[in-house]
Amino acid sequence: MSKKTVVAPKELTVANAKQSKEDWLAQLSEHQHLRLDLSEMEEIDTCGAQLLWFFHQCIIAPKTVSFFGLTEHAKRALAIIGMQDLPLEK
Amino acid sequence: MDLLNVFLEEAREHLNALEESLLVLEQSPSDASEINTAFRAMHTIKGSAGMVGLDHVSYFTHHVETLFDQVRKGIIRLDHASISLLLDAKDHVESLIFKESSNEMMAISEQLIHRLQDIAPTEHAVTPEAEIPPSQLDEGEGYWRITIAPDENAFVDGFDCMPVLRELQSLGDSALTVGWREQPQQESFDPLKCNLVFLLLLSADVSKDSIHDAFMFVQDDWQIDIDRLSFNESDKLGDILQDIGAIDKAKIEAIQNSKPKLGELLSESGLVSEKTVDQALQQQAFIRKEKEKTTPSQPTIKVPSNKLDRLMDLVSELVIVHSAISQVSLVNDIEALDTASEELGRLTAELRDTTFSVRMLPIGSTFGRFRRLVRDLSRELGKQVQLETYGADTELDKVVLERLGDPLVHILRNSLDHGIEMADVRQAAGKSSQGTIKLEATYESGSVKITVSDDGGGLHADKILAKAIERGVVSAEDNLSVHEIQNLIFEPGFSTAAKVSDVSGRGVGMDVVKTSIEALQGQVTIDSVQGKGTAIAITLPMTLAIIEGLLVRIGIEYYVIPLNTVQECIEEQTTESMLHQSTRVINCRGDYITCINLRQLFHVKQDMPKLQQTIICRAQEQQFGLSVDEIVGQRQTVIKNLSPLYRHTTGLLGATILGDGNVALILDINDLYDSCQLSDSYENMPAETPPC
Repeated sequence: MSKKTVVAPKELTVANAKQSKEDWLAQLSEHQHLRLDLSEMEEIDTCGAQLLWFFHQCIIAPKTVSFFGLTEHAKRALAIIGMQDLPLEK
Repeated sequence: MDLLNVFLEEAREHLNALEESLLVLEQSPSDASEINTAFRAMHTIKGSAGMVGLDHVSYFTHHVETLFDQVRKGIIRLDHASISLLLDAKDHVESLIFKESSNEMMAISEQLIHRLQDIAPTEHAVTPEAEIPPSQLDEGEGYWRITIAPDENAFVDGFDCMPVLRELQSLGDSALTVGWREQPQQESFDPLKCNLVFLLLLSADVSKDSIHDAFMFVQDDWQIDIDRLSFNESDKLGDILQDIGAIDKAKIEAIQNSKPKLGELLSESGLVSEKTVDQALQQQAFIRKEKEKTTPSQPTIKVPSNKLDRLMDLVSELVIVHSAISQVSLVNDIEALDTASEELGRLTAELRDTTFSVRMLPIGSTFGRFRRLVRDLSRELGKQVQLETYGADTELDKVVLERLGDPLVHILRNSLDHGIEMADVRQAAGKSSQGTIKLEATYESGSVKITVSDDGGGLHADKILAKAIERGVVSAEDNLSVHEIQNLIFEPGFSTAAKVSDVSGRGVGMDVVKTSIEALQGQVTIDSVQGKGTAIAITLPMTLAIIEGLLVRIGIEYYVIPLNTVQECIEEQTTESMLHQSTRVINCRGDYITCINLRQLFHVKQDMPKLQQTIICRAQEQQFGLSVDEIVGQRQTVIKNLSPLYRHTTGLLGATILGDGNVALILDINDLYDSCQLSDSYENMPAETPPC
C-alpha cells in the first residue's frame, strides 16, 4: 500500500484551507494512504479544523487518512470546537 | 465533639472554599457559581459564629458578606484590588477564629471594614438572613441544550466559531459535539463554507440572556436554539429523542418491545438518523453525569482522626492474625480450617481496603493553599506566574498528605524564586512574559507521583558545581555528569542563590525536601534543562501502614524489601570473594551495579549457600543490588515501628510480624543506597566479576 506523508502548513485557516484541500486530495489520488503531519501547525481556526474533520470523516474507502504530531496548542483549539476525538497515530 | 469544635472545623472548610473561589474569581470575575460559593461561605460563618458566641467574627463577616451580596446582585464587579482585599479579609477572619483576640486585631477589623465599605456602601447592606429565600441562592442554576448552526458564509465573513464556543464553555460545565449540517462529498466539499453544527450541553448558573450574549455579533445570521432542560430531565434516550422532536412516543414504544438497545434499533430502522441518535446519547451521558453530581450526597459523619488511626492499627493486627492462622492451616491440613482461613482472608482484605479508602484524601484538597502561595509570592517577587494543577482527584493516605504539604511548599517557593525569570528576561529569551508552574498528581505503578515543573531558567550546572567545589561537597577532580551535578542541590546546606531572600536561598530547602520525602518512604528526582525549566518528581506510597513486600532470608533471619523498589532478581554462584566483601560490583547485562552483601552488613553468622540471590532495586534513580540467601516470596507487610534502640540502625525502616510469629526487619532502600554510596570498598571490585 503506498503511503504519502504531508506536512500541514504552519497556519491552517480560512486563508489556505481551499489550497490545502486540493493539495491533500491530489496526494490522495496518487497514494492509497495519506499521513498528515501536524507537528508544524501553530495556528488553526474553525475553517482549518473543519478541513481536518472532513479528511477524518469523509474520505471514501479504500483511501485512508491518518494524523500525527498534533501540537498541544492545536489540540486545545480542536477541543474548543468539539473535535478533541480526532484520532492520532500511536 | 462540642459545638465550638464543630464550628472550628467547618469554618476551616468554608474558609478554604472561600479562598479557592476568590482565586478563581480573580481570573473569571463573573463566575456566578463561585460568587455563590463565596457568599455561602461567609453567610454560614457569620451565622454559625453568632451561635457559638463569637460575636466579633459575626460582626466582621457581616461586612464581607455584604460585599459578596452586592457582587451577586450585579451592583459591583470584582477586580484585582477587591479580590486582594477579600483575601485579606478572609485571612483576618481566620485569625479572628483561630488566634487569640487582641485590641490590635479589632483595629485591623475596623480598617478592613472601612476598606470594604469603600467598595460596598452599607446602604446596599445584605438582606437579613431570614428574608433570603433559599431558592435565591440558586437562581438561574440549570441545564441548557444549545444547538448552533453557523451561517455557511461565517468563515469568509470573518466569523470564527471558536470565540463563541469558548465563551459558552466558560459559563459552566459543558459537553460539546460537532456534526455535519449535510454530509460532505469528497469532491464537492467546499472548505470555505461552514458546514458544521454544534450541540452544546451546559450546566451553569446563568440566564438565557447571558447565553444569548455570547452570540451578540452573529445572532442575526446563525441558527441558534437555546432550550432549558428541567432539573428532572429524563435521562432515557427515548424521552430525549421525543423531546427534540426526532420521533413520536408511539413509534418508540413499538420498537421498544424488542430487546436490543433502543438507539441501535431506531438508527437501523431508519426512523432516526445515526447522527441524531449520537447527539441524543451525548445528551443522555451529560444528564446522567450532572444528575450524579447533583444527587444529594450521602449523609456524612465527622470522626476524630485518632479513631481512624486506631481502626487502622486493629486492621493491621488482623492481617497479622490471619497470616498466623493461614500458617496453622497449612501445617495441619484440616479442610474446615482451610475454608475458614480462606474466608477470613477474604474478609480481612475487604476490611483493609475499606479502612484504607476511609483514610484516603484527594490531593486536590491541598491545591488551594498552593494557588494562594503562588499568587501572593509572585506578586511579592514582581513576577507573572500562573499555577496549573492536574490530578486533584488523586488520593493519598491522610498521614502522607499531611506531611507532604511542607516539601511541596519548599519546591514551589524555589520554582517561583529561582526558576521562573522576571518578565523582561523571559521575553528576551523568547518566552511568554508569564511563567507557568504545573503541579500534577498521577497514579504510577501502585504509587502516587507528584510532579512540580516550571518553564523557567532551569538549573545552571556550572554554578552548582562551582558552589559544590567551594563548599567541599565534591572535588574538582570528580567527573560528574550533568544529572549528578543537578542532584547536588539536595545536599545539606547547599544553595546557589545569589542573595538570600525571604522566599528561599537559605540553603535549608531541598535537602529538607529530600529528607522529608524519604521519611515517607518516597523518592524525589530532578530533571532540569538550562533555559527550559525544571521538573521535580516525588514518588510516594499511597499509604504508610501496610506495604507489599518481598520476603527474603539470610541465614535464619528474615527481611522484607518494599516491592515497589524491586526491579528483578538474579541467581549467582557463590564465590570465595563474596564471603568477605561488604559491597561489590556485578555486571548485569552490560550495566555495572553496586551490590551490598546484607550478610556482612547485618553480621549474619551462618554459612553462605552455594547459590546467592541478588535483588536489583531502584533508589534515587539508580540501580543497586542486595545479596540474600533465599527469596521466600511476596507478602503483605504491616509496618511496625522499631524500638528507639534500633531506630537509627542503617538500612532499617521498621519490622513486621510473620505468620509463624517471627519478626522480619523491613529494609529502608534509600538508606541502604546512601550507605553503599558512602562505602568505598566497591571501588576495589575484582575484575573477574562474572556477568549475570
